[in-house]
Amino acid sequence: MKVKALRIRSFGKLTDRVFDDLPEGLIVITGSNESGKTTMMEFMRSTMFPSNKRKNYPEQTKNDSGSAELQTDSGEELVLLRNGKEVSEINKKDLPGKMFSMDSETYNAVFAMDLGDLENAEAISSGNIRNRFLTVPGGEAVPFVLKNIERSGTDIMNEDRITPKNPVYSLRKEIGEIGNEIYSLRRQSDEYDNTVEEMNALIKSTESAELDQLRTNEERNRRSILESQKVNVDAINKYSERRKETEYAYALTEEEMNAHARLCSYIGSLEERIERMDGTPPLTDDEISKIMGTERELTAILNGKASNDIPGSGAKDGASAVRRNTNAEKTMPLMLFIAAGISFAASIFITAAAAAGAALVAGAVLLLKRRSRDRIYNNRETNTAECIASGTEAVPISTGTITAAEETLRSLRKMIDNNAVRIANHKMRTEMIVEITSKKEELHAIEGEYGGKENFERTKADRKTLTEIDKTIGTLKKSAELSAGMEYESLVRELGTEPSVPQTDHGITDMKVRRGELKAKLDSLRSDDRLNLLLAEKDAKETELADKIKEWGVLSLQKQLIDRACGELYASMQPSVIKIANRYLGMMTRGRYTLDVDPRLEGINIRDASGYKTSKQWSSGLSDQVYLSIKMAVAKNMGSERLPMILDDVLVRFDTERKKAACGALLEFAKDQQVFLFSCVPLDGMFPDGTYRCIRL
Amino acid sequence: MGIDFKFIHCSDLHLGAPFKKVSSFDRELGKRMAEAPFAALDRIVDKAITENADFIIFSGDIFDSENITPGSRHRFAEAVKRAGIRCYIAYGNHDHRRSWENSIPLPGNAVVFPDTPVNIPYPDGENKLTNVIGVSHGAKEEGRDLTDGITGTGPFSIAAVHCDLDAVSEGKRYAPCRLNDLLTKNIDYWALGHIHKRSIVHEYPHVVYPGNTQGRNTKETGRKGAYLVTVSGGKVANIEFFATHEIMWSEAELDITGKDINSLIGHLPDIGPGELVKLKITGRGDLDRMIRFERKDIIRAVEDRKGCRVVDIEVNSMPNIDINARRNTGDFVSAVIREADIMSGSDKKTLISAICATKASQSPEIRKVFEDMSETELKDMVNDALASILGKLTGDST
Repeated sequence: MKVKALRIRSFGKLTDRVFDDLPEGLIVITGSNESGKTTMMEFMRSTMFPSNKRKNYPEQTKNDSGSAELQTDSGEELVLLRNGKEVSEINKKDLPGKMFSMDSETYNAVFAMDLGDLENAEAISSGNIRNRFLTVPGGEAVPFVLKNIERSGTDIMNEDRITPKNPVYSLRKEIGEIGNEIYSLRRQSDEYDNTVEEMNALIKSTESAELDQLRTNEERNRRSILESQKVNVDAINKYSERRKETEYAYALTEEEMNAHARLCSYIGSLEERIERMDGTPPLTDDEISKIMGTERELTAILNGKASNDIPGSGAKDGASAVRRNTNAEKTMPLMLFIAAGISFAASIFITAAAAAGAALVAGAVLLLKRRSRDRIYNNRETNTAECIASGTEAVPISTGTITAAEETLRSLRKMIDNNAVRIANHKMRTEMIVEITSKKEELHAIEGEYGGKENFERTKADRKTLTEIDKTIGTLKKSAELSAGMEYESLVRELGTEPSVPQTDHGITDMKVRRGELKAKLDSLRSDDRLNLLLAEKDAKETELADKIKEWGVLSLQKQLIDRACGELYASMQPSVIKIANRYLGMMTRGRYTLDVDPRLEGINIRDASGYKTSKQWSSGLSDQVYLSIKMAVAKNMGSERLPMILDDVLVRFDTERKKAACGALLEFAKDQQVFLFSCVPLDGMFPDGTYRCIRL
Repeated sequence: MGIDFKFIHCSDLHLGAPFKKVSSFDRELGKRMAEAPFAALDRIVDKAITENADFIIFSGDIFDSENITPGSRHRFAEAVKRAGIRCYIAYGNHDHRRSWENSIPLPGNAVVFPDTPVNIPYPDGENKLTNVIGVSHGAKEEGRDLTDGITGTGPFSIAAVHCDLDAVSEGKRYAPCRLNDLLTKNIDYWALGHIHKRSIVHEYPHVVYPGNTQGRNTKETGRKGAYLVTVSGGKVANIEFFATHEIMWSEAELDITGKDINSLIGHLPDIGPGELVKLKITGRGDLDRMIRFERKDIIRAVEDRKGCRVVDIEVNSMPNIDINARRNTGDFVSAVIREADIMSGSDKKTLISAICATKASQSPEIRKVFEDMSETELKDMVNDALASILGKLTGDST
């Protein structure tokens, strides 16, 4: 398709401008800045390929109007009418976009562009244009896939070295750490035997130490017991001292003491018997005869009265008989009685018995008198003793008096009878006194051996004390021996020696602590499942590492396969667009650069003798050269219709040489495809004469 | 005959052994895993007590090499004591001694075989029921045929050996021996250990591996336990397997072909609650992408539905692309497929070089991960890489 004529009635700053008879080939349109070059380009492209996304320059107005006469490669004429933003074909034919399946974005990106559009590499480095023209069939996704593979690969392991960010690194580190822990635990396990040995040795040492400790304690206890007996030993020593003072008393024999005691006792008993014995001496003959006399008298009296008054009568009858006596009869026996009593009393003053006998005799007389008085005055009974005591006047003998006399008489007769006992007693007493005297002599003989009774008694007391001391000492010794478990002499000897200081620290506590530690260690080793867990964890980590490395290996193989496939395709299936672009680029750069269309590479890359360069490494001029070359090649190959190329000041950043080279390439391009080259500077000398048409705005 | 008795045959308890290939570690799971081998031991003792077994034979690998701890040994000693019956112990390649073992002696009812065969009949005294001949590994790597010198002599003979029958394991480091030799030694019951998968290799005479008592990794799936062997009339009358595992490992294959997430979760295979599960994703479909890039959602859905714990996932699925058809389309995808074909045809060394192309990956530690893998595993990685690229190139760029 070519543009044959343009009629701009109103568009931006251009009004009523007509460009007729536009030729095929290269058309250079020059004009100073603000002369309307860009406006004209915009009119052309927005009229041929209208778009709602049209740039704002020039500002779109309702007055935009004009027309373009086109001729397709097939010779079909098209007249596009523009009215405002609406474009129509005068004969209602399809507009070129629809006719050649070209959207305005693509046309603007590839065919009709200013410098900014030229720099837009996205249109050709990605998406449809790249896939269609710039890579091998089926390799469209290769850069992305490859990038994905490489990213996945380096996520696991960098190419040059394994870094801490790589899981291979971290897994190896973890495995190493687990390995160290396992090593440590294994070493502990290997120490098990030593630990057991140490434990066994420690048990023996502890037992031995405990035995020593036991012995020490026993010794301490024994010593303590011995020490406790020191009190007894001291007491025994004191007693022994005291014993020395009384030791002389051992001379007093037991026989002597017994004999002395027996004698004392014997003498005592004799004396006691003598004491208890009736000491009344026997009646003398004289006293006996007096008593006998009295007795006869009383007998006679009693016998007489009885026979006179009351012959053969009893007592009451007798009394009655007495009451019938005369006063004379009464007075005579009384006096006799008194006399007898006095004489008797005088005779018997010597002894109590005699006195008693006299008293009895006298009493008998007095009694007789008093009974007489009682019969007279009171006619009451009384005894002889009362009469005597009361001193009452004698009275005529009464029955009562007779009774008392009879009692007295019986007493007198008893006295006579008892006198035989008195005689025997007297004799015995006399004999005992003799015996006592004899035994006392023996006693004094014994006591005399010890300096007399007083010394004997002291000796005897000391002897007793000595015995008690010996007994006490014996008890104490026995107690001490029992407590100490040894002979007293040995105890004294041991107490006399300095006690050996027993060892108090046997290290048993420390050993027991260590045993506890070792036991805990052995228990821990036996029950420790950490090693098994760590082994499982280590194996899991190793498996994970191996899996990761294998995963990396698969990614590496993927990259290898892609590289090899690309190598194969790169050599045999280079796209034609690239070949053309390379030709243009070669022309523009004097053969220095070629395009690198390795499918593995993203974007557009060029290669020179030093290698390939990505777009980031290009200068702005080189960038313009590369993209212009590619876009020219794409424009040359895109579709079946050769659409006109419109370039607005795209050579502005070229130096003269580059500009001339670019113009050469454009001139070649324009051989079979119309080119509108807008330039703010004249391009005189850039093209051979006659090879292009120049229009000055 | 009057030769009637019962015994339990177990092996490979691996007390103290960590579970392998469980990357989703947490403390709770860790404790469960650490405790599981001991729980299995307790179940063996319980069974012996319940069944009035005459004795127990431990055919090696009671402990787990360097991981044996005083605690492990102490708990084993306690279990033997609790069993109260004679426990014959033939140590295996994982049971090498630690310096402190004498400090935790086994109880008097334990009989440990030395590294040369000895016969310790059961019971003691004249009325023996059976000979029990056993031998322990003398070293971690035991190159001898430990069955040499074992010959049955009585009416019934048992031999306890931890050995590699017909070299099932790699190399000949674990007391290699041959089945044909074993059958000629007049032994009625070979109580073997070492192979973790239970199997009755031969009957009359019996050659038996009870397998391990607790699975330890994704490969040791299913029920694990020991055998209760009943001898009657001088012959093996019954061999009863009883489970001892505390945690069961299982593998669940999920075919994504023609399924969306709901239908996939709705058709999960039989997985028990509490099991540790390895998911194996197969098939071709749009879910491949989700499996690869949003697998946490799939795992969570499976765990929620089954109450299990997904500890590993192996993705062998492919995106919904006809690889063969795309191989020659001439576009980028076809180039990738062709390169994957070439790479899959490479040897292990070339594959490792392809993988370890960066400077960082040259470290021995990183390379070792791949060197430890088999060539098949490395090629699976290539397939995995191809599927991922295809998923990314043909789906939404994620």
